Amino acid sequence: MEGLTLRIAIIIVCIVFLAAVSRQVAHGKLLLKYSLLWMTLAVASIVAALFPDPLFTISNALGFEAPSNFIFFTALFFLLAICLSLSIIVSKQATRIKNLVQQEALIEKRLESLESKDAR
Amino acid sequence: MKTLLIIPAYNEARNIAGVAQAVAEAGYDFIVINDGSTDDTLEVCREHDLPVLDLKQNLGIGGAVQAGHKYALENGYDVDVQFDGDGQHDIRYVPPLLDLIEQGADLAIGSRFVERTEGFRSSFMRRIGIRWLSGCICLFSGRRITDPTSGFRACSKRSISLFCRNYPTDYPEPESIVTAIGNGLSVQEAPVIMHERVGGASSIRALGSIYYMVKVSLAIAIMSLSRSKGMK
Repeated sequence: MEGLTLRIAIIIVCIVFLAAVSRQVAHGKLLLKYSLLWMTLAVASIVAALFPDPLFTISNALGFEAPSNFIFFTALFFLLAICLSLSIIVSKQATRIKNLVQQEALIEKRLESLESKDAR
Repeated sequence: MKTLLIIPAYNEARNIAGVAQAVAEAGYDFIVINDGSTDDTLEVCREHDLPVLDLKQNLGIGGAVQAGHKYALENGYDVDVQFDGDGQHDIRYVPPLLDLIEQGADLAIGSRFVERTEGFRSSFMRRIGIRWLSGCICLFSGRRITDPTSGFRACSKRSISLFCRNYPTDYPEPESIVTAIGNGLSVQEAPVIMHERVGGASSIRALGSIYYMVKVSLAIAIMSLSRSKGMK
């Protein structure tokens, strides 16, 4: 098989990446559910490096001129999906923060009026 | 009708006391929403013993007004009126808006353009923007609203509960009109005269105005096409 060095390099990089992601999860800096996408990406790359033949077949079948183009295309698409999911998460959090801030102000106001009633 | 005036205030320390005084003299219940101001707005409110909802983070005009709607809902108000804390709105035009609500409107908008009124009518460029938004709303909802960016608006109980569930955050006025129409609420306009702001800056800055137009137009289009009812 040609490109053995490249494949070994890819596998090593992916394993290091997996280890780094796991470490973040273990240290509580990254939630497990958000790490899954990244881990899937790393594992998929390792599988592709171990058994590259299906990759070439698919690439040819879809009409890509070179398998590398197919890989770039897939990687880009994956990254786009991850970015979109990040935007969705951020939006959800913005809505939650807004609701919390409003709720907190309303509770504070209610507390204030209760206290002023008590004082009388 | 139990009426609440919602006064959103972001860095309005210089104006807020005067605006609140005018409102109190007219005999309305009101609540100042301090939208995470970085100046002394909150201190001025405390000093004058004004009722205030203090948002700890700046949410933007939409989040602030929505907090006011939530307060109105919690405290059983029949109508709430958004009344800006920068002195642009005139307390004398609150009764005509309330009349519209009493006659069955759910959202009564104080419009600068429904009649040839005098007073502050915005710059030429801004008027073109307002025309454009008015056209967008007409295209997507079939209703002609002459002043879609007006922040001087009265809401019935039905509008209040809709806006508590679903209110856009940054530039809420035109978008929320479409939401209201989409949910089958009745939207009416009454002529008002507005003043040039006394202090502070418009929430629509010159540089951001293109972004504003694109965002609001897009929001109107997406909202009318998806017809999603009351989310968030």
